[in-house]
Amino acid sequence: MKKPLNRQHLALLAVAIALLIVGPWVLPQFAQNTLVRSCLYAVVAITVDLLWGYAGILTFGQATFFGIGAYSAGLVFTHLGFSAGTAVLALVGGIAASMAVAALVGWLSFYPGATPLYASVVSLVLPIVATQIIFSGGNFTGSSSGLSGFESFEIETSTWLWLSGGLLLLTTLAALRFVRSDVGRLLAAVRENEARCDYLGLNTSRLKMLLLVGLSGVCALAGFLYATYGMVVAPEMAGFQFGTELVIWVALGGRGTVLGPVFGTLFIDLGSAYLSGDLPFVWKLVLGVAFVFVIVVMPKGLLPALVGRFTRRTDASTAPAGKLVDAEPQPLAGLAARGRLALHVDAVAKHFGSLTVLRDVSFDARHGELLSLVGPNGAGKTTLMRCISDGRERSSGTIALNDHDIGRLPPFECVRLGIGRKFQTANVFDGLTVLDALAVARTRLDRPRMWRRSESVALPAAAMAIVRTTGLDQLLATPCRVLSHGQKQALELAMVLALEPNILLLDEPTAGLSKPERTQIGDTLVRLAAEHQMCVVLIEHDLDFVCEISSRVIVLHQGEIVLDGSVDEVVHSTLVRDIYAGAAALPHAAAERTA
Amino acid sequence: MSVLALEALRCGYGEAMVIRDVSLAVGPGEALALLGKNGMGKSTLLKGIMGFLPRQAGTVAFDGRVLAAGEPHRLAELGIAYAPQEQAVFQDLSVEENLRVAVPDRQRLRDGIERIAGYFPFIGQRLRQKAGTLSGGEQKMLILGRALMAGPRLLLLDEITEGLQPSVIERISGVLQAERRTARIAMLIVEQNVAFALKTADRYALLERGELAEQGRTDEAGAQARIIGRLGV
Repeated sequence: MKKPLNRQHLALLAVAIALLIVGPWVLPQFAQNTLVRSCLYAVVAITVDLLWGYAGILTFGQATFFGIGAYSAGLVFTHLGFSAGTAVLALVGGIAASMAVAALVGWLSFYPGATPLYASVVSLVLPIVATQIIFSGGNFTGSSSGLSGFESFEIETSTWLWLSGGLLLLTTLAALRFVRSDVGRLLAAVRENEARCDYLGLNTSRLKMLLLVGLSGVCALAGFLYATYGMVVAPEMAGFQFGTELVIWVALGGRGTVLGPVFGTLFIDLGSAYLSGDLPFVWKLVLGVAFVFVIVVMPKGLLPALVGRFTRRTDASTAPAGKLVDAEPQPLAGLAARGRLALHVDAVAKHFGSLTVLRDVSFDARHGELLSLVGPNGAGKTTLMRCISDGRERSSGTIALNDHDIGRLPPFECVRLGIGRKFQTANVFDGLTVLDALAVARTRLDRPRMWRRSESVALPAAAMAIVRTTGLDQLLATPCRVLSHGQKQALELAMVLALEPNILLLDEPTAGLSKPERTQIGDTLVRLAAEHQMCVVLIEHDLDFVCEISSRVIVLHQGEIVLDGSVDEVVHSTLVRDIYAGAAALPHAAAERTA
Repeated sequence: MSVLALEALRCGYGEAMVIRDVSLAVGPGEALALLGKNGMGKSTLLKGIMGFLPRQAGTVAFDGRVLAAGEPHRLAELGIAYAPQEQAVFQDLSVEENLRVAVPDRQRLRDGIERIAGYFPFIGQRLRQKAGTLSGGEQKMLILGRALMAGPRLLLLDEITEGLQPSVIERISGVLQAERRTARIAMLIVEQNVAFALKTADRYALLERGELAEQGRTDEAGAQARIIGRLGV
């Protein structure tokens, strides 16, 4: 995974170039004609694969962007005539129009909080609307019969084949490189766990929107070429059926492989061209049965099934990993200055319907403080953390981070104000390796590259310490899903520290860790507060642990602060003993202090 | 006869983490605490017993009957309850619906809820609340409650005390000891909380790199100090 293209890819590339060169000399005319179309379809199929297979966005709408490119050519050449100038106008206009529509669709599909299903539904609606617009355009769009008879480039079919084949080759190579780049890894992370990305300061909506807009331009280019080659445009090119066929080709070929969808498209489209004439109805049936067969027997598609049969699967843990290096400190990236107060919470309340989880919670916390939140299960501790790190969560009250009012800001904007949050249950990227997860966490500070993958991940000292303490540095190439629960907890903590926050919210960071590991993490937290002047807010049930490391303790009970004071005050509070610890469980540390 | 008997069990995920030749047995009413550092294979062993993971070698027997891998639902029907460590509550179902999953029968459901609410009163008061809106600790109690609902013969617990307040941990220890006495449930308890594990179980086994490194009785003199020493390096 380290190199952008491996040896098999280079071999395939050589074969593809050779085929492209000799194709026009050996293939019959009909095959050449069809192949021009198939190659352009395959380009669109790659964009479907990038969206669906890599970014996890199932889309039926890519046909419409293809159609916009095609209609741009058809409309311009029909109404303005054909010349070099109008050709450039049609190409640029088509791509621009396609990207503009994609931006609008992206905004509709990926607004914060939209579910993946919603994006798919929007992508279904798009081609239906596009087809209706073409239908109602009268003579201007040619309505249901489309536009034909316009002039276009007079080029030999063989040249067209070189053109479209060349475009397919370029798109394939670019896609293979892109999915192995830093940004490609980011897409996988968004697909795996969007919430975690959000809390790592990444604007996931914008990322998905940029991807959609960029790919829509590629589709429009393919559509433009298709219209200038065929000298005809029809509403079906932008339609729902073509959009669905693309999804089927990608699924049959093997989604998430780039090459699978290319072969799938070429094979099926070429097969259709030959067989649909002879077996007009049976062919569709054959295709349908093949689709069901592949879904049932080879759920990952043809290419992964074939490749899996002939090559030994290389285990991820034996693949060469990158390495960790020390990062240059970038404290307060994105902030002018650290605030006077780290955290200001004023009259915060939270209701779930009629259930009140937090009422009138107010407290301030300074930099350098290690503040523990304790309280019975269900007291509202995690809810309070959620309200502090996501402006949309609380029902009323104000919260400021580093003196900035968070208003209704989503988590990724709160991260810019200097906050980092570790979730209660370990929240990492199951499909990514440890190194990849850490790299994703550094995205906000170390800009990801679009066509290359960074060999090393820079970590600040605190994150590095956690990684070394828990032995994660020996597991860099291990997929997160096989880590133990405690290792996942440690990895998430390291990911949050990699953000270099100056306010740290930790929800049971040591749950699932052994005593010595806890002690070491406790030491790290104390150091972060004392030496790095971080404000650490900790939810923890182990009162011994709390007493050892905290500089202040807040006790939450039934959504209200019942005590806010020093460790000694809390330890000697009968209230805490009654509601929380139980008579038998007075902490050892407390007992020693009293003695 | 043992309720649960493992014979030279080997299982794991690919190459990454493997249980190697683990043999152990738990009798009726007996509780075995499975201890070990992080990443030593404790959770993997429970998943291996339940058949969530493919077995490379060895057998898992329940009441003397060898169990096949890959059929966790059959094990549940036989009377094995498993309380996993992560994501075990149906977030969008209510508390009551979460319990009903374990016991579809109405009368048994009512009796079960009454019994479980006796252990954890909040369950009785909030039957209609969405389980996903419970706090992390309350979800843990619900998981344990659900595991006990059907009156299992064997209970597998994966770090049930994680994220719980000290007084609730005390109560859980009491609940488990009571269930062992009255219902003769056999238990395999995976824990980081050594004090809780030793108090609740009568035997312990220490797992190191997927192998059994040590076994003994929890009431042996100095057991706790020795285990902590062994885990603490």
